[in-house]
Amino acid sequence: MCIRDRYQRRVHGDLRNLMGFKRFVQAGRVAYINYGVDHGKVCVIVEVINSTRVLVDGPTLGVPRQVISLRRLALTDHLLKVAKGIHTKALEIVIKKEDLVKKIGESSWAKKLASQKRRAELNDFERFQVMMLKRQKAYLVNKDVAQSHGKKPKKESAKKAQQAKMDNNRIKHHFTLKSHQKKKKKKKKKY
Amino acid sequence: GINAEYMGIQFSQIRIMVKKFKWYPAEDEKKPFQRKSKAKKKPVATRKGLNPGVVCIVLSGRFRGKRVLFLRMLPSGLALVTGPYKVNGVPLRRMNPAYLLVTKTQVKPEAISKEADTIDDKYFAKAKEAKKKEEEKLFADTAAKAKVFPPEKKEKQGKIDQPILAVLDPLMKKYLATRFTLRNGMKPHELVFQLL
Repeated sequence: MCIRDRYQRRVHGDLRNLMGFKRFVQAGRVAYINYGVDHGKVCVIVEVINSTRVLVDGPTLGVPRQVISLRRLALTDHLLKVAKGIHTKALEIVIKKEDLVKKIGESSWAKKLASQKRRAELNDFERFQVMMLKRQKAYLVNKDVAQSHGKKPKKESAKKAQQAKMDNNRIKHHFTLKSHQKKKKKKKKKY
Repeated sequence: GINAEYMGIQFSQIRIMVKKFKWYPAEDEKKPFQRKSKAKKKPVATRKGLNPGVVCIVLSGRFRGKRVLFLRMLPSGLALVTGPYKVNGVPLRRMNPAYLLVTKTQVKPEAISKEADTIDDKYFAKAKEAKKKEEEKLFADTAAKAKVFPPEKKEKQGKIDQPILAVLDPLMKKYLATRFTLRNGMKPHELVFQLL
């Protein structure tokens, strides 16, 4: 536990921090490089130089030990228990021990990045397939919504309808088929 | 020589201009480009990824946006292409390969029959009409004769398209039937058609 955490504990007791910051720039903080030569790679903060710059290292992660601006970093939730100024070789051992690569790969952030990358690589036929699948999904979802609205619901079935809506992932609770139709009618009245 | 002077100019200084040609054109005639060297015209460079059966997107012309199948390169440098006709209405047609966007998707090349090899540039040549005299033209039938698409060409289209249609699955047919368009959020410079 670093000095900061100890201070927080002492001052605020159980409340770790009053301002709600959870990810601190500290030795051992795993960060994602957003910009520059090593864009897209993950590194570990080794030492804090000043309010804008940090010393960073990523032995098995493809990042050479370097000073980098904090503006180029995005902090992650992962924190390694290392002392500040740790040498590259020692850091490499810690990374392997913690299996950092695997942990990062499992995070939803990494998964989102992977899906973004895949989307960018789609070729024309794949884009067409995706379009077809989206339409099929939308059809099924809208069909379900329409059915849940079609019948005048009694209290029980209303609850069921609500549940059905909640089960469908992408439907926002304020969007209903009827409200959508009302909007369409309103638009027509303008002319 | 005459050793005389006129207005400060020596006679010996004067040069007499003689016309080389009797007739000079008013403007320079435009000559077609002619290679000075005897170098032969190079054959059209093969586009990477443009193989028989590859799906291409037509970028301009009547069929712009249509997804068509590339058959082969013709000796004139144009690409021979087919819809297939029953799928998207594109017949056997020559197209400038520069206006074909090559994609990664490829139909089985075995489906492209050897019939495609028999088609040449001559296949697309316009049929020559018998020369009519001016008078004959005046008395000719004002009702225009219906242009009939030659049945031999229809047959040819069928021969080439049939094995292709046998290989295409419904999704692929739908894909070829749909035109390519840019939609919101699609950035042409970022779209991938083939990872080269």
